[in-house]
Amino acid sequence: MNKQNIKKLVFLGLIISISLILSYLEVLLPPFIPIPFFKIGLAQIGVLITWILFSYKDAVLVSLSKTILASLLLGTFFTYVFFISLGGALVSLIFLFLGTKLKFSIYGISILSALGHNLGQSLIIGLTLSWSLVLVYSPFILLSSLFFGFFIGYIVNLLKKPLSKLIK
Amino acid sequence: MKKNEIVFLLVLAVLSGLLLLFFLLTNNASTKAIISIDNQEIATLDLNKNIIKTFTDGHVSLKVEVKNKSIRIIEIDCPNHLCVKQGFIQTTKEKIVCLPNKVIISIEGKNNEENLDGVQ
Repeated sequence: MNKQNIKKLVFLGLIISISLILSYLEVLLPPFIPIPFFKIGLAQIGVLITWILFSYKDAVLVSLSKTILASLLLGTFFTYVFFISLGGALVSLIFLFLGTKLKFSIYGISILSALGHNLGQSLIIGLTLSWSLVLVYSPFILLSSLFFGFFIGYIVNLLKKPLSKLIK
Repeated sequence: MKKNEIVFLLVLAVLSGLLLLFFLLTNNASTKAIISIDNQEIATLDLNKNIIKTFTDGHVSLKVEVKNKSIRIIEIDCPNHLCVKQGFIQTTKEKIVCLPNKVIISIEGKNNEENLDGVQ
């Protein structure tokens, strides 16, 4: 294993643990938007940073490990909620791939992946529970994807430069 | 930003705006609340009567309060208690959802007569 590989391994480990803490902190925040299981998606910062600094493959790794480990941390592993967030993570990764192919900017990519998260989760909820529930929340789902996707994109844009220096 | 990216964002913004408009226009207060667990309707409540009651279905147990033509969950067993923190709802486009327990409380029915009552 050369030096670059070790650096990458350490960095990905750090990113996953930071994402875990962020997703844990998010649960503690008061629900200031009346959508059930609404999240800002702070942990998505880690996924997007990995995608920028390394590759799409590594972003998939971070996203899936984050989803599984966070569910262990929150005690929701293999429950109904876990499958909802897994659905969100998978569709978000597909959308991230699409964004890469379309050569979107970091803001577009971030909004696209936020939308993917929401659509994936809505799909699982719709298929298993109720489509009317998804429809009622659809305007808020789309608006929050736009707004918080942009917000996350902005943070990733800020972090991009100092972090890329770090891994050189 | 590229052209197709701007088009994508505009379409998303317009779509969410239209949906929001539709949501606001069709939202009205009503007095019939339906509690369902895993798609099974377990109770229908009249919001004109103030009560506090516990419903149990299988391993799910929830305590709801009806007050001032609105309804809320007081107690339920779930990790985050988002549904409890959400508080009261009273219009047809509002729902209380507890995903871990698959509990949905929705309010149904048109409310023309009730509105008139309110005016009197």
